[in-house]
Amino acid sequence: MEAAAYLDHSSLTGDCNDVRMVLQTAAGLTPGGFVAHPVFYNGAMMRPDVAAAGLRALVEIASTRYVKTIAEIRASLDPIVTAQGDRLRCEAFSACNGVYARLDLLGDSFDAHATLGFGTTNIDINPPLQVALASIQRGAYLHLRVGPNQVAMDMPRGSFIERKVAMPERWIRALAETQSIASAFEHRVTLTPVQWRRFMNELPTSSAGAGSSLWLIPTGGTLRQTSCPVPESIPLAGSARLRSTRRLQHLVELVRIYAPPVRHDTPSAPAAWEFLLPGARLTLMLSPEPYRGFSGEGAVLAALSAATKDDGATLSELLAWDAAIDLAALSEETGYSAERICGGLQVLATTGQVGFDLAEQSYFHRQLPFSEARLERNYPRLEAARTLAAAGCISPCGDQLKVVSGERTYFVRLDVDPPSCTCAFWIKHKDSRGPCKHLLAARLYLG
Amino acid sequence: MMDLEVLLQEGTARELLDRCLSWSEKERSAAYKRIRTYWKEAKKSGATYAFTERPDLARIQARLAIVNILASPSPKAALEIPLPSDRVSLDLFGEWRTVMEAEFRSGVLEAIAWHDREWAAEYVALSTQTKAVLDIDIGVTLALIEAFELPWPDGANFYRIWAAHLSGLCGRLGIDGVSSEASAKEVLDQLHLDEDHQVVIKPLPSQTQLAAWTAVTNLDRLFEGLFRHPNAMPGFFGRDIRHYPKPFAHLVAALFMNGKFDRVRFVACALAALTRCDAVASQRFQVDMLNAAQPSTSELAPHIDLLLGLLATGHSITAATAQRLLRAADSEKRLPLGTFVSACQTVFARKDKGLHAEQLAWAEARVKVDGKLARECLVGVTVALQLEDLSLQKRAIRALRKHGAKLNDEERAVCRQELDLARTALADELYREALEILGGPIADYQDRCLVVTNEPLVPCGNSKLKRVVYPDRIDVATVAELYAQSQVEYSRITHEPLIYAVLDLAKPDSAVAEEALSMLSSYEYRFLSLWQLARYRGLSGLSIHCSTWHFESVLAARDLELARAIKSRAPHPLISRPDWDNGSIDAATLVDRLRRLQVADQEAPPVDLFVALLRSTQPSEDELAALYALRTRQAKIAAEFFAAGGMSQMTTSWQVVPSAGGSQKPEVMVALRGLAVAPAIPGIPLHWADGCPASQNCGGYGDSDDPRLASLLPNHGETLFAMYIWDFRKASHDEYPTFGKTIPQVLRSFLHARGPAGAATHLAVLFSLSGNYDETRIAASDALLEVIAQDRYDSDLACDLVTACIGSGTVKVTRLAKSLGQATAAAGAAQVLWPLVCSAVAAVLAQQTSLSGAHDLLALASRIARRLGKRDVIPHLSAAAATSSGSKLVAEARQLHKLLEG
Repeated sequence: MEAAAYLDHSSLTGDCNDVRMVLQTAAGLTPGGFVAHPVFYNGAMMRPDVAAAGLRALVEIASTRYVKTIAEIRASLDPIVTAQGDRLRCEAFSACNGVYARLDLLGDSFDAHATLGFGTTNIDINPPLQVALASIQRGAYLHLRVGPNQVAMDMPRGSFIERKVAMPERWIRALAETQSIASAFEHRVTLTPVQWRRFMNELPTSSAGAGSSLWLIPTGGTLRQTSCPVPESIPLAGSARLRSTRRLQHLVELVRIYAPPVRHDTPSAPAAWEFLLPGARLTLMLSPEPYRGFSGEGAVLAALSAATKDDGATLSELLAWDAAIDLAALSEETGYSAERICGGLQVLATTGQVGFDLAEQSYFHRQLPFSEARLERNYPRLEAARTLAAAGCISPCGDQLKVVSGERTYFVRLDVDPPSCTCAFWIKHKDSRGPCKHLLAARLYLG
Repeated sequence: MMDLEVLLQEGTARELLDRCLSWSEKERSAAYKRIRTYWKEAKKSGATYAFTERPDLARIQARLAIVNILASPSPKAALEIPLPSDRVSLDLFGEWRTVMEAEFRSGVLEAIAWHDREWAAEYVALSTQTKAVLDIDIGVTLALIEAFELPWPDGANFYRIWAAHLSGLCGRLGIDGVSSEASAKEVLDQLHLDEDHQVVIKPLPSQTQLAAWTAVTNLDRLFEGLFRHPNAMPGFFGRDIRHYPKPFAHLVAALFMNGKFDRVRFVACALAALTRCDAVASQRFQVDMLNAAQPSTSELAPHIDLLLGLLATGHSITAATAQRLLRAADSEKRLPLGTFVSACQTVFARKDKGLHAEQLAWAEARVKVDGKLARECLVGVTVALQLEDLSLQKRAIRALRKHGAKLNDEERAVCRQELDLARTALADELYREALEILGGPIADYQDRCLVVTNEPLVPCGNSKLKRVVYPDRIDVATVAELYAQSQVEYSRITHEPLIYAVLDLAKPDSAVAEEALSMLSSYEYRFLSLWQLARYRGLSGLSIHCSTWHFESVLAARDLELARAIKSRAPHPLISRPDWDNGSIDAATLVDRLRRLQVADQEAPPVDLFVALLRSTQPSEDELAALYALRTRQAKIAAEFFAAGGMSQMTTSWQVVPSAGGSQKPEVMVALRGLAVAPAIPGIPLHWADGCPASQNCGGYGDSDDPRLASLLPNHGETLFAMYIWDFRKASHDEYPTFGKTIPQVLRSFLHARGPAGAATHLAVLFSLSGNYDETRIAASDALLEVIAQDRYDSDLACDLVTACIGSGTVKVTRLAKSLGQATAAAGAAQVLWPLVCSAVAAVLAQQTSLSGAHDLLALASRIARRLGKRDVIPHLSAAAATSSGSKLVAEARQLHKLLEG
């Protein structure tokens, strides 16, 4: 899946009353193994308008760079699609990697007589398809095929569409971070459609780029905007990053907002916005600040330092595109403690195999064809910490731990909240980007 | 035969071609190397920049390009010496000035044609498919495409430059620009190759612009390219598409009349472009082009769903056009059933009031028709009840009352669902009225209101002061920790312990000083300016006190003084070290520190003493006596200053002045009374202590966003606000639309400073409530709540000020209403702010002419009155409610009057 080709462009044909949409798939993994172009669904959609608007919102996010960075990263329009038997999850990140979007098309969206498969792949979304999606309305009949019309063998050589699907490396890292961040979220508030529209209409519009960074306080019937955090407030870093949901405003049935606990001195925090649509859910997760991509958040590092690759491999054997991973059942099967199970899942997450569903408060499984060698490549901080711990660079020093790294000496304190270090990384970021290598090394030292 | 060097300087294109075409392969290769070397050196020396500005140099570049094309081994190499195109003139003037003469253009064409078709195709592809803006000659490119029948390029660069090329036909920024005729000639000098690759120059067919445009070939392809590439559009109008000439749309409309475009295709392209939701300016252009095409309803019929989508996603101007076109289609019965309800749901989910009113007007016209369409229309009308606009809600209910009987049971149930959704937005009496029409039980209000309410009144957490903690033991780790604190929250007073630590480390006997200092200075992140001063400026001979000593210069002066002490390893005991996290020093502490100096027979440096006096609380009688008893020079200065009242001598008063701070309009401003007795510290200038009349700018030299400023006057926030009041005024002033971006930080920072809040504090918050930026207004709402939470809010003063501000037009009522709406939404704030809202309402009603946004303010007052069950009398309200006008303002006035009368 890292660099595969499509058989054809995804397309939408027919008139407004009888539309056939073919979403071309790249190579993917299924329960049967590696398949060049898997077919996950072939049947009618019960709410074509929802599916079309949701996909458009997803692709708009994937193609948008909310913050202009010096190094412009190429946007990837092709969402990751995971079929889990009763639902289809489409996931993507914004071009700046600061917004994670997932469209879950649930059972009610699909024809009861058609079958949904299992597997994970990328689908082709192209600009003409985006325009065509805009014309699908509620009353239309939409036949959706996720997968090519013909299997790969039937295609004559040379008729492949040569556009390669290279899933960005940052997506893999960001997938691991988002599930870790999301699992620490609390459900903060639910908005009715009217309250949601009112809130959106009151959002600042004047700021360019990612928009204003605000804190929202639930108050009688609406979300009051403030410029400073208070306990119970909800972070909204970059109000313009919610703009893509305007396509769905008339379809929204309920909006749930999730966020981590906030203190007076919290500089910034991520949050997730879940839009309940008829037969579907769209979840947007916003990074703590518009210029911060998820791939560098370091949220998964602490858990990884306590986990082993073997645990991940054991769990991987037991998972098969589960829509909701049953932790208790896994614990029973493996005999592992709950903590060890979570650590193992984090190891799997580093290769994109685990996501987190906020609505169901559970992990879900997807399988991407990436090896565990990525663990070393994608998490150099963890590797550096392991090297420090193995080299015996750590020693107790009063109520602190002394970490000698090269020519410098750092002091780590694990008995305070949050644990602290005297290195430049911690001074700059504190605990907002995960622990520094010295803190990780200290944890490894203490076992 | 002339030498190549000479030919490059003054040869004709023909001479160059004749010379180069006679080359052997070896000569060609040698020439290529020479040309490349020459170009590299020219680029290195910067000489190539002048090529596009001077015609003589442009000719040299053209000659170089011709030779390079002929000598290059590949098209990619040929493009490395660009044609003397017009990118510079395009960027500078937004107008195309062709600098390549026809002779050289023909030379370039012949040079390219000398290679084969594939070579030419690759040359065109490479020069047009680039993402970056690249100089290309449109005449050459178009001629190559036509001569070799090449596929049309798809790159944005091609369409952008082509559009820029043609924009000369409109003149610079207007169709009737003076340069249009000359540019038209250039454009119409289209080059074509005949069978022998000879250049044929087309004659100019007409002098009129329409005729000139009509003569342009492939115009439809250009527009398709422009619609396909949002980034290509600015090409037409120079750098900024916002300035494109409106008459251009008329020209396009006229071209449609001349049959220049395929309307069906053009409309499809324009609509496809609009679904992309480009930048607003681009959407405006696309909409204008769509309108210029004047599509018929039959031509729009296949695009109804796209138009419906644009209602949700487009900018206001796009949505308004989509709404108009849909309504036109509806009037000819071309709208599928269900579309109208979708349109209502979409439009009423937006915030554009104009669209709401238009949708309701469409519904009112439609509902008069009998049958299913009318019944469907009523369902759509019910959606309007979710809007918070009273007049629209009333119009919707009126339509329901008039035609509700037409609804069948199923439709009535759908309407009921919409009504239940609107429960929280509707006043009780309107909800009951709608319920009476539609029937059914009363919806459970609580079920629909899912939002929890547990908000604290204080939004920023600044209300309680905390003591500054100074470390007992200074070591490297402590300094690093303190440094980290200053990084995390630089805006507060946390850098003071660091100064303390650094000063302590700077003592000659400090064991860890060297290590700590080297560690601190190794960080590249921002640090106290004293380090910058110490490292970059040097310390010798630099005077602390410059002639233009603004108040904020105290900060720099103190840093410099400290830096000198650290550098000399003779740190003084810092008497201006704060006790509290807003910078305040207890008077008792100050007395104690001066006593220690007396015992040690030392004196504090002048700026340190001055800052200590600014930061100190007003001493009690006993403390004052203790100061006098010390009998040192500095203690006497302090005692005399505090005996006269200290900084409390600087008082404020507000007044309306005919003009102030450069503004020629009436302004509500603050006068600052000076110090009768100033601290007479040698070397400290005191002109700032003279105060300032209301008509002048007291301070505000652009440094009010220094986060440490509030810590200079921690007990006299009112003085601080008065000194910088003009900064706040600018943040809401029409003449300074870009001011105010730092106001949120300044407000937060200044509110750390305490003391009684007077006219300046209240006025600064009021100005900010009507600030230019959303962020300013949100911060101002927080600041208002903060002042209330600090128990410093003076309701009577705020009411007087808001009346004066509205009366003088100093604040914008629309913005004020929105900000007050945010502030009153906080738990408990509505009760405190009710008098302020009433005063604002009275002030807007007292105006001779209706102020923009006045009805929003009245609607806010109604919401609060309903929530709090207020019974009150607001001046001018009964008179306004009794007016027979049907305006929104009067409707809201009646509503409010009714509520307040009970």
